Amino acid sequence: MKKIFLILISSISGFLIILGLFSPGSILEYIRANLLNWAVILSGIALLIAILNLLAVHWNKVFTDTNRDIASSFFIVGFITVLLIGILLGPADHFFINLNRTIILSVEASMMAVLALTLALACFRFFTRKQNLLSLIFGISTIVFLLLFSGILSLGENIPLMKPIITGLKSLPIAGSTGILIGISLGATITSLRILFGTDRPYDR
Amino acid sequence: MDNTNLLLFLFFIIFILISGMIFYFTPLKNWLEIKKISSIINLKKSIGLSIEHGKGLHISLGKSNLNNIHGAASLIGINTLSKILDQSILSDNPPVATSGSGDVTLLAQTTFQNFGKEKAGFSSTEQSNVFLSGPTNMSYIAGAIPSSSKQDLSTQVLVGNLGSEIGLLLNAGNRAGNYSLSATDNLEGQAVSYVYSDETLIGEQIFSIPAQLDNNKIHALSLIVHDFLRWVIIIAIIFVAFLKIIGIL
Repeated sequence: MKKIFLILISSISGFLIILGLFSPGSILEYIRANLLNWAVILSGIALLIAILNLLAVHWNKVFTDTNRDIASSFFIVGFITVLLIGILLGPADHFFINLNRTIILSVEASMMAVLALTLALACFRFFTRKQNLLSLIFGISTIVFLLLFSGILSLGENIPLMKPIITGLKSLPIAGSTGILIGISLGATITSLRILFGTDRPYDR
Repeated sequence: MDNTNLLLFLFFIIFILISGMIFYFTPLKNWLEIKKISSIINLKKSIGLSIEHGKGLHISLGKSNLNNIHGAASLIGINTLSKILDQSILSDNPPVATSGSGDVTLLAQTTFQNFGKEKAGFSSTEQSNVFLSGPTNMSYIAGAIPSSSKQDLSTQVLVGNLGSEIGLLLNAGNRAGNYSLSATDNLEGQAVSYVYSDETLIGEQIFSIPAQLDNNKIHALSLIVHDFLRWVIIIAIIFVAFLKIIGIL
């Protein structure tokens, strides 16, 4: 009974949202907007619960008897400090905003720096890790398109017939990515339909 | 949306409903065969080896919320988690799942919790086994790296929406000598994971994981419908290009 009830709620909400999308100005559009607002609010509450769960996970890692993880204490101290300052000074306070920004920016920037180095290293490791025809095509096309988009061949555009060839080559990655994106969009649509018809129920295993 | 789009969409829904009903209610469904992807076969082997050696698995569910266009990839991630849980029933080391979104984390925890209820003897440790590792792109990766580079881990599966930052997670797993399979709906993520991952699913192959991991006829059917629609679009593109070449359009 519970299962049928969940499927009904999920399917009816899904169909109402779809119908609202195709009926601008009608009551269905109003229902759709409200349902989406509820979804956003629920998503925010879910995030809050998940953050509290994360705090509990790190708390357990610090205060466990076996395999204690001291690094988790940095998370707990940072989290409680920012939370308390936010509660005491308010979310609009300049000090709180700067503190928040500094913490987020420093983490994101350092991770980006590591990512840049990791990706540069990946280029060198690529051919040693994978030695097959597809990898060879992948590697060669990467170098060719890097050169092509760097503008190094722009002088050759004055030569007759070169301009259409260069333009054609430049459109190849766009064509490829469009093809992949069409496939992904179809897959996303069919996944959504499976949930809409209740054959896939992520909310009820 | 104009009427043409609405008609096309309704046609699309009706087509899927009719094809679904025909396949579901006729013996045709018994003949449904899908081509097995070698990456998924290798993943199954790796899960088997992990269980044999008492090692764990890390499943990364990506960073996307369910209420945007990348939500479908996250749903596939949850489905994959469910299938992997089914396979790792005998493991002493239950899988660890990380996510970058609150709603996906709660759904994954529900999956884990329900699995614990269904299978006796499987401890319900969902609180520390499924968690949000960070709410932003990079904090998610920073929080997931310790889980993917643990010594008692042998397999990591990344299914969901992950950008180029997937490289950091895969690199950490590679250093620990873990087998990795990645499937993302992000183009940059696909390119980076092709370089770093042992097995990579490109393009829409991410949506075939549920059908590949179990013998559910509905999943197989949806994969066939997906393939059919893709061919319809390919033919339509070629037809429109042909009309443009001959000057009709």
